[in-house]
Amino acid sequence: MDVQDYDVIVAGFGNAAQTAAFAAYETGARVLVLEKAPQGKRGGNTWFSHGAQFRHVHNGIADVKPLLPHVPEKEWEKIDLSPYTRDEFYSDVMRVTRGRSVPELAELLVNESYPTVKWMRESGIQWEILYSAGVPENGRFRWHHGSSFIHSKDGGAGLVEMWHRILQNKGVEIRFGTAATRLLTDDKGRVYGVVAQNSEGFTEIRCKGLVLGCGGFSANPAMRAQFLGGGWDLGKVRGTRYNTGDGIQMALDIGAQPFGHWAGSHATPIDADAGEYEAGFLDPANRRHRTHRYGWTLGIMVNTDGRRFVDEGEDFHAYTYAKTGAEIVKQPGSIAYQIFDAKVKDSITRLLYEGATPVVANSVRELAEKLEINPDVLVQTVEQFNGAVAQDRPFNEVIRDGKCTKGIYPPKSNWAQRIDTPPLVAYAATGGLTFTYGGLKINARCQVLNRLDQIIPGLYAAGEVTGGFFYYNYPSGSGLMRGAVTGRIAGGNAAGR
Amino acid sequence: MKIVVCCKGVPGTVADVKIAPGGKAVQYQGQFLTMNECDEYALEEAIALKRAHGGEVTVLTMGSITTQDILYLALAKGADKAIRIDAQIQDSQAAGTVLAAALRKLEYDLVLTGTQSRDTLSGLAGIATAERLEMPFAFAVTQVEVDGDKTIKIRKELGGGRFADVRLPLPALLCVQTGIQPLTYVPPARMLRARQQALRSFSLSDLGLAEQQIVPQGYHFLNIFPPERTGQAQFLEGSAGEVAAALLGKIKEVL
Repeated sequence: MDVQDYDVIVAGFGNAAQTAAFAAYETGARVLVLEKAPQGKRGGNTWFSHGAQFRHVHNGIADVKPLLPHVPEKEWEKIDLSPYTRDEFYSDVMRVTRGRSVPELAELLVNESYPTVKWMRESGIQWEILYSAGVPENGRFRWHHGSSFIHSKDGGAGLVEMWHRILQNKGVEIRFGTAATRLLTDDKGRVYGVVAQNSEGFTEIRCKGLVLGCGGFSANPAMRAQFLGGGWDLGKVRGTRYNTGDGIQMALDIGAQPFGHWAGSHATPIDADAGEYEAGFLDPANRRHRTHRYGWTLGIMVNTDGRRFVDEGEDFHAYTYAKTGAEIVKQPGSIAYQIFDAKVKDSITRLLYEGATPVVANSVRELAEKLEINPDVLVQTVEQFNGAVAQDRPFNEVIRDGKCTKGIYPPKSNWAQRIDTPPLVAYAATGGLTFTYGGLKINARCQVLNRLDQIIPGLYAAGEVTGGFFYYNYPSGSGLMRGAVTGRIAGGNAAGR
Repeated sequence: MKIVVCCKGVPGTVADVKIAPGGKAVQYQGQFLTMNECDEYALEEAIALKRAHGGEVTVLTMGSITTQDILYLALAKGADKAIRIDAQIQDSQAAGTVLAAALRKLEYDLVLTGTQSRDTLSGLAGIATAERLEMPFAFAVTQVEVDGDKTIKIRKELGGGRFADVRLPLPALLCVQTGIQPLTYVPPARMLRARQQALRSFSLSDLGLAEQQIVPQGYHFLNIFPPERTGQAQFLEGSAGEVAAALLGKIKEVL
């Protein structure tokens, strides 16, 4: 077998791996990137992230201005942005993970979030303001408390593109269509290289440090069936078909410790017409017509029996979208209908239900007939819901308005308005798997630990490959942030300098 | 009645107390922290007093953001507000300076603390805080009775199973003894709801303090170390008579 030598090998070419490759390059290391996919399909799940928002700590406009040097002063005058403190970010992570997120890892994510986005800007990544998370009000923009404020220019594909160009300009070697297949370890358990496979055969490549940044197992039907359970083996995958858990499996094979929420995953409401893979877009090749259906918090959601099954107003969709996909998949046929009346038409338009097929009707009964739901049941559901809506305070979608229902189950805790103003619109949604939560155990230096909690020398992990950050759910924008934080740390440490 | 309870996040069990690299401090980073047991009792007493006399309970802690968990536990148990001081201070006297600075920003009639923390066992932080605030205090309090607006009567432990009844003017600080109230169970659903509350935090500069100011004069940790294993066990064998003779011989040696 052909044998080659580098300082750092990075497996993968999405956000986490690219960050790791650049961070390793910055230490002066000779870096090799191995990407299983052909060049046209590179970018992992990152490429499929439409918004590519990054959630980070900031003190308001003063902190975000340096990240966005191209935004003119006049623009800033129209923006209302309250600070997002470390306490708030940590609290949000802990709240949505029901207190399960490993404190050390959550703390790492929070503390390193701002330095990392700043470092990315300095490394050449361009940020833009995430206007889709802002609500226009009298010519100004206000952000929901806890919405991310920035995203990479041109979304996830843009981020992959920018990093690719930066790495190419620095002369970092990237091999596409080349998969890491097996980790090489010596008799002390140190990882000293990898066996890589491409169309021509196998090569042994040696290194001082190896970073696994090659994603979770969302695209592996066997692992989905084994770990995620009920209905996910045939579920729709919003992102790449290349995240088959290879990196995780290779590390487990040499004794790495499986860790985190292995039965858990980020799965969101998506258009029911989306495909099996790359389901983030109805037209994935052109990244057109994103399939997000995140407006359900402003209306109600029913299954094919005509019954509600979640508290649609539990929290801002940024804090619940990642767990609601699974709730829909549990429903008969894995289908749900999001129903809105004319009062929230503008809000839904802002949420970009592009390419969606709306079902429109002038009455609940007519809507039920078009959706093939038992009309009596749907009418009863809506009447019950409407009767329970408290009228004691105004609707306000920018805050948790507390306008709730009383006496029905499931309740709607916020943004409950009577469904009574035609035309009524329904959208069919299903659950789309974004990424898996379970992975390898790491320490705060992103070194992989074995089953005795000892460091496996030479092995690092970043992004979806790591477990322990997210359980049940996660706050929007923290997945990519996690990838960049861990990528930067893993890459920076992998050369051992 | 406005009560502030000082609670500390400590490693989960005594066996988990790790020593930071450098050997001069206890390591909290990366440790699983729980509420110091003695402080849990202080919290229960505060909530009991609130239930009996009305008012508000604020829980105050000092530590990194990972101590948020104990604040949420306190809120779930019935505290109204929670504040974190962003500082990691080993020494109890220094902790007293910081806690006092935070208390100066709050309104309170009564401050409750536990008696000691299971990692440092010093028992000083509450008293040091009271001293900085020039506030009357009592240690090892087992009973608290409100006596009008401006006074409380407390019972405190003395040695040898004796007690003292003491009257204190408010505001005062009490280091309450374990067992003063039964510890209450928090249903998981209540814990989840508590996490929706916002927490307040103070940095040292918010409190007008710089690192150098709070290290106590002339007091330096030289070394923190685990116990050295020197002991050994020797098994004495033979009949009862033989063992007894051998044992007596060993005792004579030592005397």
